[in-house]
Amino acid sequence: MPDRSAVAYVYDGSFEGFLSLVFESWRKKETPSVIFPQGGEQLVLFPVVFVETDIERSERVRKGIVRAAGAEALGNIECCFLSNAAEKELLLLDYIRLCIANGPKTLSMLADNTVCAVTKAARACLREAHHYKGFVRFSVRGGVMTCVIEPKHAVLPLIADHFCGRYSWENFIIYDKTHGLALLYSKGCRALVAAQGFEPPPADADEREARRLWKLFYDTVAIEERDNPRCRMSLMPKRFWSLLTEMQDETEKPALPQLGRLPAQPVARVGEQELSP
Amino acid sequence: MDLYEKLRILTDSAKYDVACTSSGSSSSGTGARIGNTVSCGICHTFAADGRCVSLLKVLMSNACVYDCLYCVNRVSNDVERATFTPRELADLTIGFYKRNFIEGLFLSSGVVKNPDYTCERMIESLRILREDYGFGGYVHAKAIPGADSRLIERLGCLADRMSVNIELPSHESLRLLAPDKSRESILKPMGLIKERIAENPRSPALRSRAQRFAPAGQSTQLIVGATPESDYRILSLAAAMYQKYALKRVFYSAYIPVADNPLLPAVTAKPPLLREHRLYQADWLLRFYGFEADELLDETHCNFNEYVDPKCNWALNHLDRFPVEVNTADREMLLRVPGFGVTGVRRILQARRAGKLSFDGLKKLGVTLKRARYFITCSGKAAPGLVFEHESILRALMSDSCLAAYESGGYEQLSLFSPRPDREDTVKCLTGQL
Ligand code: SF4
Repeated sequence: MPDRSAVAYVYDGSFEGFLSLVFESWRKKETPSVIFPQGGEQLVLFPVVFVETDIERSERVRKGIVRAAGAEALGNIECCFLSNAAEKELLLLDYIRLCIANGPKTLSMLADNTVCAVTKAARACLREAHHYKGFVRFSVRGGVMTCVIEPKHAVLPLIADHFCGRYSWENFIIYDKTHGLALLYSKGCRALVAAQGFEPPPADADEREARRLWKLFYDTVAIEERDNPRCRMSLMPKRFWSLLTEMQDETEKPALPQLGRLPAQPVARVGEQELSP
Repeated sequence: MDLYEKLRILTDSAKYDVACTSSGSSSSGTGARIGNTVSCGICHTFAADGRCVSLLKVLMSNACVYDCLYCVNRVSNDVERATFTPRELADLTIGFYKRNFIEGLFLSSGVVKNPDYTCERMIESLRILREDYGFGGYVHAKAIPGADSRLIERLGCLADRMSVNIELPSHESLRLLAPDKSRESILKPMGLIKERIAENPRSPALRSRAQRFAPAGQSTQLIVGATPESDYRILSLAAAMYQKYALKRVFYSAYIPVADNPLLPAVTAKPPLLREHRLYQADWLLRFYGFEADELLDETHCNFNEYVDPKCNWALNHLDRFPVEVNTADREMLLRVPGFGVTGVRRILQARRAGKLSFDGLKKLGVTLKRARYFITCSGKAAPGLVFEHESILRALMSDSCLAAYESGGYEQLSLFSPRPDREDTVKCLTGQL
């Protein structure tokens, strides 16, 4: 691990911002001691440098990574960036350095702590994304499908292609409460935007009936003689249950209609990339 | 009868069919208005029995005119009967699909009136889904034995996967327990489906929905424990079916007693879940680990060991092939190490290109060594403190509950006694999607 300079880097929180920061670190030939996104301010003892997002520079870094170590390396970096790994920016800065130095071989250097940590974080993130492809539950009202999720990792960019492909003629919103992000889709157009406090509209009669039928199906399809709560728990951990219609106890409390705020400002472009492993 | 009641009855009567995966088909941009399929399959929820739920699994109708003794829907059984209209079924599927409850539909049916009529109703349901709704999601359709081949053909063009359930693993059992079905009526549609699948255009780009016949292939199901066939017999049959009919999957379903009949296990009998689990493990070894059925069992050892899984069992009987040197062994041999999975082996092969692997290095790869450490060396060194000897290894490979059972009596005599599935078995007991 290279020596750290007594300086903290701040960036806008986007992937492009982070790549711009990588560029800046190379240009100045310094490795910051701390990196954090704007708004995630921490108490630091070092002078703080704000790195502007520069799309052109970020592209150069992106291409550099792919040229040196291949698309899979970039995929790992993107997934790890979306994960909740501790100090992921510093970790990725090291990882990118290793990629440039060692080429595609980096991916197999799993005995190295940095490579191991990045691979694990990327894997955890992809795993959660895969879970969400199944566990997302939409409510349908007035031709719009809505859903609120609370993932550990910022999986929205990773599941966007899946849902946009699947419901290509529909309109839908998936709101990630944990990370304050929303995926908006309307017949061919999509946007990943920052969002706060979005509440889906309350269920109407059709919606309630669909849920009642689904719950019935769910309860009926299990074979009593094979009851196995432990197995279910390990395959569908409890943290997902609040999301799942079939795990709610019957009729829900009537919710007051509430309008969500959805500032239409794109914050990340990772969603446009193909990230499947 | 309202939809709620119909759904209850027709789900209840379909639930014993375990073949419920949504994998093996991948589509996008096929011009569908709603829905696509994903080759790795997606589980949308897990039922209380721990099985993956990815499809709306229902019968078109349970008003069956046949009398298969092992089946709840047999004509002589006194149960509530219901039948969906094609429209009801299509609407239900779309409503669930839009809410992301399911990957698609698994449609089977009892024989209403006759096989052809039943098949026509199923075709109409799928036609509404595909044509009226432009549905591109996953559909698994059951071919009804005895139906006209033109109808099977049409059904296959609307479905992603087709299956015909063999159910009973021998001709004799079939004759005794399913008097209305013949071996021919089951094998004929299987042969037809195989041929039609083989005619599919090679390049996916050339296939429009209408030109593809069951792109996710064909599967079947065998019932375990309703009839006296041994594990060896069942596994050999499965291996032969994989070969002969190019099946994608064989599913095994532990028999759950539904009828009081001297030809069948008593209604109080517990479903043989551990046996089913061992068969799935062995099936996995056939398909992904390069094993042959004859290596795992033979006429003299015709049932699986209850205490250790089939791979461990094989290893214990072939200790001369171990230990395996992790840094030099080929993929085929690494796959035979108990505790190493396909993913683990891939990681090992990848990682050892970058340098020599040690036991610590293996741990970093996320490879579990609990079982494997008895069978491997790293750069010539064995894991510290291990005794390489049959009895000690066997003990180490068993779970606590199995060990207790083992110590209270020789395991040779115990083969009829079924110990509680151990933790690992319980957790992995996901028949549908192992
Ligand atoms: S044909 Fe036999 S197995 Fe199928 S539903 Fe009728 S009775 Fe059951």
